Amino acid sequence: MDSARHENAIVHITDLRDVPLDQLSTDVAASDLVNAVMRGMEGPSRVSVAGFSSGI
Amino acid sequence: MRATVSQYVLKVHGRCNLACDHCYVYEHADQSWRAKPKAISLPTAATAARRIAQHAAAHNLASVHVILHGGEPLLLGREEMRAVLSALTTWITPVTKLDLRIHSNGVLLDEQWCELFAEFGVLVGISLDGDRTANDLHRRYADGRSSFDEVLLALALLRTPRFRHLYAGILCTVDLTNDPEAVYAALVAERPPRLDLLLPHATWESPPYRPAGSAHPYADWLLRVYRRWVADGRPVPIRLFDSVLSAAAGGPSWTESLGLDPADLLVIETDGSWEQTDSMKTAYDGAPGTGMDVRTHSVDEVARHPGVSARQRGLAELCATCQACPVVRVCGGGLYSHRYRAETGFDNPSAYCLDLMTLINGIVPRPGAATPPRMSHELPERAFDALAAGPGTVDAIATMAQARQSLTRALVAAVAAEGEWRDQDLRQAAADGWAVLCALDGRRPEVVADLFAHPYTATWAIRCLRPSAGADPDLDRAHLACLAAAAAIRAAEPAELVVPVRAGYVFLPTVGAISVSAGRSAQLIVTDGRARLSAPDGGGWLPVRRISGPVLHTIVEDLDPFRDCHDWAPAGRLSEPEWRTWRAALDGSGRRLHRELPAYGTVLAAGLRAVVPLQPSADRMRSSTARQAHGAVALALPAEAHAVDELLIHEFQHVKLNGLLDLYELFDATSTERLKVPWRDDPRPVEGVLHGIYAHLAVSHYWRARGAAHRQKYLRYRSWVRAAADSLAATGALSKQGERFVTGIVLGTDDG
Repeated sequence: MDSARHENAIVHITDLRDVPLDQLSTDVAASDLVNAVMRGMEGPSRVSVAGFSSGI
Repeated sequence: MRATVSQYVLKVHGRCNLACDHCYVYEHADQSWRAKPKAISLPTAATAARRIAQHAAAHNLASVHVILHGGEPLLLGREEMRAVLSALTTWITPVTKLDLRIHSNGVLLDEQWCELFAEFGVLVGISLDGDRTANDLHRRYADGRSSFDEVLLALALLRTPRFRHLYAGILCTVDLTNDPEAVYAALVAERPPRLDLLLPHATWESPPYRPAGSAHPYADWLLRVYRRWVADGRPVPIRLFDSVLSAAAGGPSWTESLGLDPADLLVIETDGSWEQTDSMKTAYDGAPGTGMDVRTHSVDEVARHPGVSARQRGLAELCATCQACPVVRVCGGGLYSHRYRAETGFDNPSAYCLDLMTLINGIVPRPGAATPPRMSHELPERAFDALAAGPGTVDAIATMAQARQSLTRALVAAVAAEGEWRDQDLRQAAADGWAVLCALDGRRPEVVADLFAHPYTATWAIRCLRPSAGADPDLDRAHLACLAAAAAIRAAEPAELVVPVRAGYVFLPTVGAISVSAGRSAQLIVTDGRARLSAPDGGGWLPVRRISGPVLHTIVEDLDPFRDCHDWAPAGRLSEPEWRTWRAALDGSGRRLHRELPAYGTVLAAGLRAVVPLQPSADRMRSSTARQAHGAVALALPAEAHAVDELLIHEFQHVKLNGLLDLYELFDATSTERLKVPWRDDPRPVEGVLHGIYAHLAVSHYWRARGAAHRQKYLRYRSWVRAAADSLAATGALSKQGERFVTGIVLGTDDG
């Protein structure tokens, strides 16, 4: 299941709160989410938005 | 086959003597009560009775049920009520059996009322939400007084031998804040013949309150009651549980909230209008309306109304998701009203879908029980627009926190699955820690959820998955054992774990740190909610600093080794005098913001999980927010008290926008465009400008709230927002949702 589908600018984050932790290591949806987070950290302006009139 | 109706809710009075804040009649989307007469007239009641009788006779119905309802029906007055009961009896009893009931809040019930009800055989149902604490949460008078004592007197009256036969039962609306077993015990103590446990009305547009943690908290709550009820030998019928068991066995459901039985109920309002089931008032203004009236339309005609007839089609009326679901014959798609969404009407699963499925699987366990469908975290459009306007809502913050909870769970599990280690001792420590954490997640999910909601848990996981140059990956990943130890301490469960040591300390997130004399790891023993080292040396304890209200409940994070993600270096451990200064400053700021800028203050209090002290700068204020540390802000404490307010308001806007960016692509992330902005000289990227106008919007509101003396500052920030929003809109880099967000920001600059 694609857990981070993008439709009409909506990012679908699969609700994993009820999935047992020990199952998440092999869960496809969880893996998709991790990949999406890590990709997001690579964006040109998305690493860390920070600061009082410094990052903005 | 022609549809028949055998249940009628007759609204005899449209106002209430209580002001319960969870009442669907007055507090939800439909506000049609305002335009309706306070009380039903006798001619209207008589016409309704005639219509009901004609329908019963035409269809040869064995019985009809009429529930006298409000508002508070006893406000009608005894003589008027006698006239209504006489009309109903006169018309209906010659053609069929009449089952009369009244649903009251009970505060006006006395012997005279009971004598009247005894005369006509009216059974009395009373609303009570549990013990005094539970009931007083919502069921109060407009001036805040409790209704609890009066309701208990009413119930005592109904238990007397003289009136016991009139006692129909108690209706209780679930509130997750209340302890389920305490609520159950309080209700059973009133010895009702039947109990109704009702989910608070909600839709996809106004979703149920859900604290971070479990995805189905209402099922968890109800299952605790269920287990206690079974253990007690089922001392009273509970309609919800009985209906689940009956429907699962192929029998009927006894509530419209469950099952596929045709809807068989109409409402007659005080003005004589026919309406659909009362709970539809929660969907949208005018939702229950049919456009028909007892004076001009028969029951047969109302039964052909599309909204009414749709609910007689059973499985065929449900959305495709529900039709394919293995428990649909038990839940029936849930209460019709709870399926509402603006875009798709009622063609959706219930907003309580996961709760219903979990409840049903909990009550009717069977081999191959259905796996709940995977849902996505979703922010209602109204919440999106409320965020754009500046402060947002507590519900929106909760949705963001829930989405982050899912992300953090995935990230932590990914760290646990990392395979390459150099240090085998630390590898074993991480593996043991992971096992403890997984076990605690099963037994005490709320503890693990709170630990994962700490902003630096996700920060740690991301650092492990993307190690920086010079990092010690094994030491970082073994922090998993520290998370497990912290969870064990907070759950007061025993554990023995090897934990990594950094800079002479074992760091236990959200709990504290223990000094260690030497080594790369240490053996930690957790008993009775406390931790100690197995070795005799070391053991100095540094507790986590917490601010505990009355407004802010947050950690002042001066310990967590993964808090260094805010561009500026964090301050070290605060000395006791420094801590007292921070505590007073943040506590004072929370109180001022709650008082002077309550819309922002309330949301801040709901979402601020940690404040990280930064090393101060000699020449300027410092504050920062990091996207990966959701719910945290970092700042150097300014000398002037009000400056703390401004920094918190500013930075928490970044927290909110970062949470929103989890859920929406508001702009083209590949855009390399740079925009000139009024607040600094160098051109800024699109995301920076978006964050800038959102933060400055809040700051403009802050200065506006501080009055005329600060009007120039207010106008300056407002002009910045408007100018930069124009530039942003002209880039073409915004998505449709981004345009909507920026439009909302600009609307938020209107003078309130």
